[in-house]
Amino acid sequence: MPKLESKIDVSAEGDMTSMIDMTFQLIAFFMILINFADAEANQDIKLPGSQLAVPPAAPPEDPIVVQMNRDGLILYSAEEFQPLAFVKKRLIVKRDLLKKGGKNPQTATVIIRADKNVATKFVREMLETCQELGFETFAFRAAALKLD
Amino acid sequence: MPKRRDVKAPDKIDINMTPMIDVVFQLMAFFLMTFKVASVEGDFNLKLPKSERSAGAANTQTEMINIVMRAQATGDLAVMQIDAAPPTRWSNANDAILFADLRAKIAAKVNAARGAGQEEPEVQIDADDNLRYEFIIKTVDAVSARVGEDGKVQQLAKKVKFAPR
Repeated sequence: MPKLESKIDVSAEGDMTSMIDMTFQLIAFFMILINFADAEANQDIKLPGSQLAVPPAAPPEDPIVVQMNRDGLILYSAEEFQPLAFVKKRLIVKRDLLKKGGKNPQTATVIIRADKNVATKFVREMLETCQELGFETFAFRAAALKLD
Repeated sequence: MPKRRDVKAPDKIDINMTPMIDVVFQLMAFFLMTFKVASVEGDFNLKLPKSERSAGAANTQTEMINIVMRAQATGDLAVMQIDAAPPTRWSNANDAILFADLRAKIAAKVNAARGAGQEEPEVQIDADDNLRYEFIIKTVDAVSARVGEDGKVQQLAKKVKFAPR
C-alpha cells in the first residue's frame, strides 16, 4: 500500500506584535512617571502634612537638601545619618565651594526635610548653624495634602 | 534575446526580533524595580537671615505677633498663646479648631495692616525644645496662607521666624 506523504509545518511562529506594543506602552508609562529627584529623598522620614505647602514650580538654583530623622540626626552629603557637628563641616565645605564659584551662600536654598516627630530643638539648632554659615533662604518641606 | 529570469521576491522578510525584545524586557524590569509611588511634597519658603533676629524686634514699625507654644512631656502641644490672649489648651479633639482659629486671627491682623497701608506683621514662633516639629509646620501652615471663599490661596504673613534662645 502506498504511503501518504503529508508535510506538516512544524514551525510555530506566534505573532509578537501586540505583546511588543503593550511592552512599549508600559515602558513609556514608567519613563514618564520615574522621578530621580524623589529617589534621593529618604523614605524613612515621615514628613508633616500640609494642605498649603506649595510644590516648587522649578528646582532652586543651588539646593542643599538636609534630611533629619526623628532622633535629630542629619543626612547630608553622606551615606548615613550624622550628628550636626559632622554635618556642619560638610556645610562649611559647601559654602566655600559656592563662594569659590562666585556665588553668594545667601542665594542657596537650604531644603529641610525633617521628620514630623523630631524635637523642635534639633531643627532650630540646624537652622542656627546654617544661619551662622551665611545661609538664609530656607524651604521647609512637607507632604502635600489635598484641600478639603 | 535572452529570456527574462523569473525572480521571485520572498513573500515575507523575517527580522530577528529577539535582541530587541530582550532589551525591551530589560528596560521594563529596570523601570518596574525603580518605580516608587512617591507622595507629592511641598515647601514653605522662608527667608531667615541671622541679623533679622534682633533687627526685627527693634523695629517698632513692624508689628510682631508672638506665638508661644508649650509642649507636654510627650512632645505634643500643651498650650498655645497668641500675644496676650488667654492660652488655649491643645487636645487631639480641638487640633483643627485651634489652628483654624490661629489662621483666622493672623488673617485678620494681616488684612487690617494691608487695609491701613501699614507694613505687614511679623510672626515669631516661641516653641519649647521638645515640641514635635509637626506642630511647627502646622503653625507655619496656619500663619502663611489660607484658602479664601473663592477657593484661591491667599498669602498671609510673609515674615515668620523663630524666637531667639
